[in-house]
Amino acid sequence: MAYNVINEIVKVFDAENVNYQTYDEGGISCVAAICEGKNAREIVVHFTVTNDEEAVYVLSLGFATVPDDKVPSVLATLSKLNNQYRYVRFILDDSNDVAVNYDIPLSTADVGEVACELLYRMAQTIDAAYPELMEAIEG
Amino acid sequence: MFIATQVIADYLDAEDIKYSVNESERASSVGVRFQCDNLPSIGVIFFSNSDDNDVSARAFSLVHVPEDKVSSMPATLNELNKSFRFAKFVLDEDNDVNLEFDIPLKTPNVGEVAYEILQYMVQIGDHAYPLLMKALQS
Repeated sequence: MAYNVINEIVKVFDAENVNYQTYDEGGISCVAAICEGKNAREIVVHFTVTNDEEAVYVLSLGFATVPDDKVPSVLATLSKLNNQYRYVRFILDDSNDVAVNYDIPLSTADVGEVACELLYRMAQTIDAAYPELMEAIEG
Repeated sequence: MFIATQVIADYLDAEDIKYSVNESERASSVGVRFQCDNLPSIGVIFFSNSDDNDVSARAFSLVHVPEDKVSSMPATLNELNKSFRFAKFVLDEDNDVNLEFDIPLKTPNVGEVAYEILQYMVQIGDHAYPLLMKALQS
């Protein structure tokens, strides 16, 4: 099942000339797409499917790690960004990394097209939010 | 009514779910309300403001946050956003905690997806309510 979903995504990514890699790891299949931003230079968006379900988990992280003393201000910023931007969700994970995610519903038909739309939305949102995030971390 | 909200209304009809409709020139919406175990009830509204298949799902005002609790709420919402998939917990400008989900424009079966999201939002809102109340009372 995961194989079919990944194939659907890859087919659309190929048609759209998206730069991506695929990998499998411990019961999870993944497509990692790479975008360039004006502010966040490289944005990697992972589309992950577990072998026992078809819901696609979309995740981007690795662009900001928060020192402990900045956690409160970053949480306030993430709350503001969650209110400001549609679709994606900003979280601070257990390693103090800022992550941006979205869950594609299981019943979604045409997952490839939806994944491609979300790739661009997520990359644009991260790039737009990046300066504000960096200010919260470094300011 | 914009196309996507009509499609959702048709799907809810097929599932025998009662809903209300709201229409204006700028937007149309379909609203559903369910009784819950923890929350007295939860209302989920699907909005569209064009025929571009753009659908926002919102459950407004799960709780209202008093001024003295606003600064601690981001940490609570972050824990909830880490714990629950699909819907997003948001603190809005009126200090209300809302639950949000946006359905991608490229979704061809928006009725079926809206129904799936409706079920998640009802369950998530109801599960999260005691946690939100605990955060407000601590």
